[in-house]
Order: sequence, then C-alpha cells, then structure tokens
Amino acid sequence: MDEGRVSEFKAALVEAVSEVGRVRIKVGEEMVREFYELVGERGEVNEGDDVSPAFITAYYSLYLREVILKAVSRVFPSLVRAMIHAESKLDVYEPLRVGETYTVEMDIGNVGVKRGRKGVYYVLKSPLRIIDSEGRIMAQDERVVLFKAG
Amino acid sequence: MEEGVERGVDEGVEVTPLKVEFTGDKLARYCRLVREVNPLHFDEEYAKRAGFKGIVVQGVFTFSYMVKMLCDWAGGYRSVKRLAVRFMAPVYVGDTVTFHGRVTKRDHQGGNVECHVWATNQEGEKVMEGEAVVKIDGDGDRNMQRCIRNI
Repeated sequence: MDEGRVSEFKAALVEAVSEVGRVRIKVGEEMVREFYELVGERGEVNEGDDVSPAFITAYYSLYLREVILKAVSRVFPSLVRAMIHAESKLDVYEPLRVGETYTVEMDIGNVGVKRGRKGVYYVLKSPLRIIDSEGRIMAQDERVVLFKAG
Repeated sequence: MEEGVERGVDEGVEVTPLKVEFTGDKLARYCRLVREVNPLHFDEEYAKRAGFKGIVVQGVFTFSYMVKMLCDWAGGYRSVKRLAVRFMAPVYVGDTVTFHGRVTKRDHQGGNVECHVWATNQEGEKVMEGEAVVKIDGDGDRNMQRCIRNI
C-alpha cells in the first residue's frame, strides 16, 4: 500500500469528521428504556436519573453513524472494504443523565498501516468525547478502529 | 449483586460472570436502536465478502455487557471509572459469550479496585480482554436507592 492511499484515506476521514462537527444528542428516555430492556438492565428511567455507563457506547454510536455516512461516499469501497472496532479505552467521569443533551466530538488521529493474515488494514486512533452544557467532559473513549483496505 | 462489594474484595476475587447469547433478534434490535449503517453488522453476504464467517456483533455492543457486568458486581452506575479492552476475535450472531473479571489490585484509600477482564465465546476462545478500574465504595446512598427500586 503506498503512502498516497493512506493520505487519501486520512484526508477523507478528516473531512467527514469536520463536516459532521460536534453533534448535540439528547439522552432520550425511550432510547435508554429500549437499551435497558435489550441488555436486561433493571434501573429506573426517569428524567434526571443517572444512566448506566453500559449505555455510553450505544449513545455515541448515533454520532459515529453520521461520520460513517459522510465517509462512506468518499472511502468505501475504493479504499475500504470493512470497518472493525479493535480497541476501546473508556473513561467515565460522570454518569450521563436521562433527558440531558450532550455534545459528542471526535478527533482523527494518526493513520497507520497493518498487514495481517487476512489482508491490509488502516489503523486509526480516534478519541471521542461526550461533553455537557458547561463544557465538562463526562466520558471519553480512545477508540482504535481497523479499516480493511479495499 | 446489588449490595456493593466492599466486604472482602481483594486481589484474586472473581467478578460475578455474565453470560450473554447474541441472538439474531438481539442484534437486530441493537442495530435499530443505534441506527446501524455498517453492513458488517446486518448483511451476511457483505460480511462474508469482507472475510468473516457471518454477521459480526458490534464491538460497542459486546463492550456494553462488560460494563454491565462490572456495574452489576460493584452495585452502581457510578462504579465503573475506566474500561480498556482489546477485541481479539469477532463475535458472531449465535455466539454465547461469557464475561469475566478478577481483582488484581485494591487501593484501600481511594476505594478503587483494578480488575483484569476478559470474555470468551462458547468455544472457549478469548474474544475480548483488558483492564478496568472500579469504585467499590462512596456511592452507598445512591446504590441503596437503586437496590430498593429493584426489589
């Protein structure tokens, strides 16, 4: 894989994240309820209640969806065939609360290249943060994602 | 486990394991919930063309159960401070995954414990492994309120 393709891939992701920007997403009661029912969580879901941190990755997936949709037209399938979540380092500082709206943002870090048994992958480290209305970071996840090269 | 784990938690103590079957229905519901757009998680042909055995369960979904296991054990939503994991093998629809943890270090002053965590599929293959920091005291009132609600 040449350096040009890696640069092209990274540029496409940076552009996608830049276009999506910081997104405000409400922690809706209905979504929390559905999630709890799905995973067998028994906690209360009323306005202002703490939300289980198990919900955080489902919550920020709504943001990732926007980034992926933006990136798809640029990098799939010419540069990328599949996207695989490889690592996460989640730090939780404060629980999210039902009914609150938070800002989700992500950085595009360095893109590396890894050659595995099943092909060549782009390796992307992309820290993602959830921030409250006063600018406090509630949680952050340092994600490592593998993109299987096309 | 809803009573907190303050008593007798020390190195070597096992976190109560959590066993989860990732059925097609469960994954479909999760895909709807997060409005999934990555076909690896709902299109079997796409997943096979990409080199997988079948539809792959989202890492973020399996991750949620690891967090849930730790919360259930420690007894509160404020208990999980950090969870760092590496996904080692894909989890496929139909797999049954068991989540595990073991205390590796206790900080008696701060009330935190460090845990080694891992998850295995029905073949005993490790699909996820990492480390967690869990607070095991200091939220007694809030945890007690949750316990009472759940009775």
